[in-house]
Amino acid sequence: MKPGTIITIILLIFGLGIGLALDPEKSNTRPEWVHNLQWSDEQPDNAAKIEELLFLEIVPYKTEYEMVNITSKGDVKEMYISVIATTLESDNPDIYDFVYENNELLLTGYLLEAVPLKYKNEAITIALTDRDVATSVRNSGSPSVKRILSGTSQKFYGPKTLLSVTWKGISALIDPDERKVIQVWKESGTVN
Amino acid sequence: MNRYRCVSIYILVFAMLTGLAASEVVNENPSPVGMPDQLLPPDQLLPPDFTKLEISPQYGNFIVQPGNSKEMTVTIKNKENKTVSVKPNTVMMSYGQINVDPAWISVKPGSAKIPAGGNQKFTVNVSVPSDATSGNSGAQIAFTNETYPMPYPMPVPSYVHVFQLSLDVWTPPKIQIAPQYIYDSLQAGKEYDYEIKLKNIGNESINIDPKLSNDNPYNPYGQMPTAFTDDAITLSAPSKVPAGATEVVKVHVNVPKDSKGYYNGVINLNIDDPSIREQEGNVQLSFNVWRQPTEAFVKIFSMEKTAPLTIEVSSGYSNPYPYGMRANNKMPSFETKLVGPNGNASLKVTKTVIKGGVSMGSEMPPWELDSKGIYQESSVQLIETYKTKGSKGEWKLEVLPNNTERFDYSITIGK
Repeated sequence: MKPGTIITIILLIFGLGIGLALDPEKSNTRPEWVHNLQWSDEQPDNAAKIEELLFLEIVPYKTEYEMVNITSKGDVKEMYISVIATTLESDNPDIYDFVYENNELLLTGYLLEAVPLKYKNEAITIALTDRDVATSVRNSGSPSVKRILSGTSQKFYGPKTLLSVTWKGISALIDPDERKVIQVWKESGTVN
Repeated sequence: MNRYRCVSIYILVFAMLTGLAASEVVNENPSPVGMPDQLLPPDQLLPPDFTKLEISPQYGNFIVQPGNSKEMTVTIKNKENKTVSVKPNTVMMSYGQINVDPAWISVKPGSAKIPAGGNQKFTVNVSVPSDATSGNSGAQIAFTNETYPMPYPMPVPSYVHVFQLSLDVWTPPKIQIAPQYIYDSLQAGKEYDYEIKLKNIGNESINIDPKLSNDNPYNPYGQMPTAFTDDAITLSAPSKVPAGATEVVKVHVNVPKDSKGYYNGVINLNIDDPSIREQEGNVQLSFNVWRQPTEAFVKIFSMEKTAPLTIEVSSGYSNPYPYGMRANNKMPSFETKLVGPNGNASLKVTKTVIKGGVSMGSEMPPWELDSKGIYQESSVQLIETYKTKGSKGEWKLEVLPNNTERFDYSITIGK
């Protein structure tokens, strides 16, 4: 192949790459599992970039988000982003807290309770297979079921999505795929 | 004083002194039997003639599936000034649901000489054979043959240096039950439907026969009358759950119009699976029955002169997030009316307060710490304020509450 042809091909690939990177429609593509999206108050100038990064970080659990509400505070240098995502299958939302700095989005906290009732009940059933849990939570009412992301899970088990089933004073960390209780925590501080 | 009298007094004084001395001896050398041993260190607990050994831990709970094993390390510290020989001996307890073969329990090393002030670790291994039946039992590992003296014969000697072992053999159930509890706030006179799903993850069909259980361990109100009797609840279900299939037990509750209070019950699914233990095949029911009033609450009050009138009505706290099967959850509201000497007063809501209880994470499991600082609403209250111009005479406040089981009111006359 002649050197001129090679240079032409390289330039074409380079040009195509720049073209795709500058395509505003592409960078603003919303995932299929987000039906509606809104910004509370005023959108920041870099809203499209933030959305693009957000959709790499947030994902619903075995359902789709009906509404994703984004709130931002702070300036371009350091922006605090709060995301509240709701689903039709759960009364509780997924809440994510991020810091946006140097074009990067850092997850600083989350409370993910948008677990569909079916999976919530399954999780409670798995938690109750632990005899310690089953005997401790009689008459304790219903627990909360929260999704635990892999970054947190790897400290206790492995890098995968787990569920935390929590009654007042006692909690079971469960692996919904393996259908097993990984750890049990009691308010006194004991972890079995 | 005659000689006999003198001798009698000497004998009496001698007897008293002897009694006092004897009682002090008893206090200095308490019997170890029945002592609160968790309050005293071993060297104070044991009489000097028992070897001073400290065993840690003193108890171990082994939950093991058939075909599996579990290990635990027990450390013995020699508190004597000389070397002590120990040899673990497994002693089966006379209680227990299942017969445990002592061969299931092994302790290594089989013996040891622990130097003065030294430690020795022992590994206790419990291996349950695959054909073992489910149930509980117990055993002791006695490290010496020293026993407490007992005033009466015992089936098992009371060894001094023991590690207590409880064994719980369990088999994973072949059927999954969801949910295992149903709780809800019900209105009298209405009907409710719930579903219990049973999934058979085994290879064989499993028979079921759901029935409301008379033996209800969950009734926290003892002999208190319940809101309604079991015949208000109808169960319908197939007779079996085929392998790999999911079947539904339907629970229909027809709440009697005159019922109020609490109902706590248990559905015994009567699952024909030996791996399901007592109470594991149960679904707990917990209902709070209340009646939505149709008549308004009425409060009569008088005014001495013309003055501004402020009425405040506040609901009880409600849980904003229904979990599990709780379905009857709505925001409270009020229908409020004020009748004065001149007829209906114009009563408008001038202020509405929605008050909530919010947690940001106090005591929480370590895997939920990433939610610390994020608001979690645990309760909601509605407060409505009404204002009107009051005048001299008799007034009547009427409040009809909706979706709340209690409310408070205040009537403020004047600014």
